[in-house]
Amino acid sequence: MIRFENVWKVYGNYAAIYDLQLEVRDGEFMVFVGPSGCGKTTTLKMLAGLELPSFGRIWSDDKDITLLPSGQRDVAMVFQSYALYPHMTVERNLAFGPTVRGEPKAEIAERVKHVASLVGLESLLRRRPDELSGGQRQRVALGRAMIRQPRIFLLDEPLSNLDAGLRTRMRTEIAELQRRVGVTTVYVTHDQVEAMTMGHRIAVFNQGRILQVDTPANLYRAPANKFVGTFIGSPKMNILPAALSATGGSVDVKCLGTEFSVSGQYLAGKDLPSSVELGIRPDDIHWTKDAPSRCTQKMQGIVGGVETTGSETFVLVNVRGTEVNSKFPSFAPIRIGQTVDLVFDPVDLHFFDAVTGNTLRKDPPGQSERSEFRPAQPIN
Amino acid sequence: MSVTQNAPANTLGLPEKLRLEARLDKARFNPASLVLLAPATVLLLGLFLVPVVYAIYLGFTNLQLIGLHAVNYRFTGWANVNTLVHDATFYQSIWLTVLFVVGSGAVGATLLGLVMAIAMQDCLRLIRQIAGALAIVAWTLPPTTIAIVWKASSTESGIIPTLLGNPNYDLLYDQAMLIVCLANSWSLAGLAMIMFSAALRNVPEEILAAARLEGASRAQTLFKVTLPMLRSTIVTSALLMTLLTFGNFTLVYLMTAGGPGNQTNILPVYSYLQGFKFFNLGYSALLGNVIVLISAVLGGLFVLLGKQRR
Repeated sequence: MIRFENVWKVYGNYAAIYDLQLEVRDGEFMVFVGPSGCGKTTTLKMLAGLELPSFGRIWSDDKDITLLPSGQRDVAMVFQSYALYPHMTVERNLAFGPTVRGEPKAEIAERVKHVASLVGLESLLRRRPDELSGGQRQRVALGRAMIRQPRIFLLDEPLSNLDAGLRTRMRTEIAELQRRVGVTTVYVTHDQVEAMTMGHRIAVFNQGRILQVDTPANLYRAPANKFVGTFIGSPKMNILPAALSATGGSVDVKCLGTEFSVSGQYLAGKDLPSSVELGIRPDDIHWTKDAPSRCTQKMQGIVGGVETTGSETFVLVNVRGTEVNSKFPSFAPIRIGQTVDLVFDPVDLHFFDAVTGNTLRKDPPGQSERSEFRPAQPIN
Repeated sequence: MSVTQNAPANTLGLPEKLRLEARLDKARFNPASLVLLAPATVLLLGLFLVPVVYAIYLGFTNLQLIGLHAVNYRFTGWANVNTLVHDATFYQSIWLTVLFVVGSGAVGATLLGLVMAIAMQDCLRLIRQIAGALAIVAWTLPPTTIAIVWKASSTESGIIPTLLGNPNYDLLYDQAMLIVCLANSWSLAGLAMIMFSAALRNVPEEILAAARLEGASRAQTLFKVTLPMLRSTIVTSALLMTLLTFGNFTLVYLMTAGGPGNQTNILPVYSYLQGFKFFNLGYSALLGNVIVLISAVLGGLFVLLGKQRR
């Protein structure tokens, strides 16, 4: 297990990381996600030993590795730029680590072959990095990190330089590879789709703090605050202004011309703020002509924009000055300027404190069970 | 199919009309460009080619600085070449030149610059700036100053013999070639250092981090990653130092005038001595031609080296 204990990273009078607490379990695929400058790469570098924390401790099981030189941490890293040695062939790039560590030659050759077949590089061993395509370089970087079966495997935005198609394929390949090899992995990305599709658990970073660490499903269903809610999921969650007033066992909500009440047990905290923000995903706001019957709350607006992807259509509707993105059936006969009725089910709403952004909602019943992570069995 | 017999096979399937037209993306000739090129051509011919050809010609004459053949010189065919191939001093001079150019220039100055650049890479900013500035000053000093500084410090009661424990020892007299080489390396190392400092900054941080993460020691990182990545800079520096050393007549002449004996009599010095001390301008010009040949060969060699990818 890897554990960050009260880790800070301070540059001048600016803190890049605030009092970080985090555990990465053995065999887990942990994703750090967040906008650029949020501290995710800094955290990764501190784990690799390329940056030293200003305060705090980093533990690997019972061993304090905070100040251990990076060469002794038994971590392997894939860099965003791949950082291949430009003057060496693929073969020598792969063999560099074992060679400098003085491992026997025959064994190195064996391992190079094994790793090359694992990442599909057998035919390219004699090439040099500048003779490879982006995807091939990416594989070399991956192979080079895997050749030694490290204690921790670190990946720093490894797919950001690839084109969209290749990125999708590599995403699956890396995730599948990790499940097969079973090595503890920390993966940094700013792309929430990558995070959602690859990770066992995701740590959402913003402005030097971890906002929530959870499984992809729980992050999506029960975001701890407004930032996580809007960051995870595409297209973005709608944020609507609303007013709350508690009456007995239920809470009345006023939002964009619609009024309804929800059960008080539904919301956490005794003193509910009077003004809140409601979060609702575009998938949960429906067109009246295409809505499940449980959707009872209605609002009306004017279509401001239509985005068709083929399988679905997202329609931007202006409801009393607030842009609401909602999912329509594909190729719905909708024109800009048209007035449409939208409906939603209050069960799908997220309640955020308008000031702090923290969620006011308890986990909805029936969805709170954690999909427990089970590490893969290494096959070697 | 109406394909003309002598036209290249029309594999592209171009329409017949287009095949006769000049391609737009190939170089085209505009006669007006000749006018614009003319001034440069005249200057090149008049100021470079004519003197060079004249110097080559002089190498095959019996021209002297003063005396009988100073005005009435004539073409003597292979006479000068005949003298040259039987001139023991010439052969010695060639060897000394190679030693001086390769030893103190291509290898000495490059190595010194490289070591300084690597040593200063991670040191305190202030120290790096001061040392860098001093090295550059050493490079910008005129050869006369360098010659005087080194002569003064390496002859009797100079600082080097004093530090060696014997102020009466004339190191320059005893080890003339070594001292001259050191002086030359010293004066050029600053330039090499600037080149290597710039090149070292261009080695991506992540590549070095990758090597570190894989467990490479500092020495392993230096020799297996950094230096191979500096390869083209090393070649460039060696070439530049060679060319600068070749032209460094002043330093050697001022320090030793080719002596003692002929111990530092490199070709440029020997050529000068033949022309202006022994008045054999014709023979001196021939020696000059040899220098041009050697420069050309060395230059070509380094260009080839630089072009090779591995």
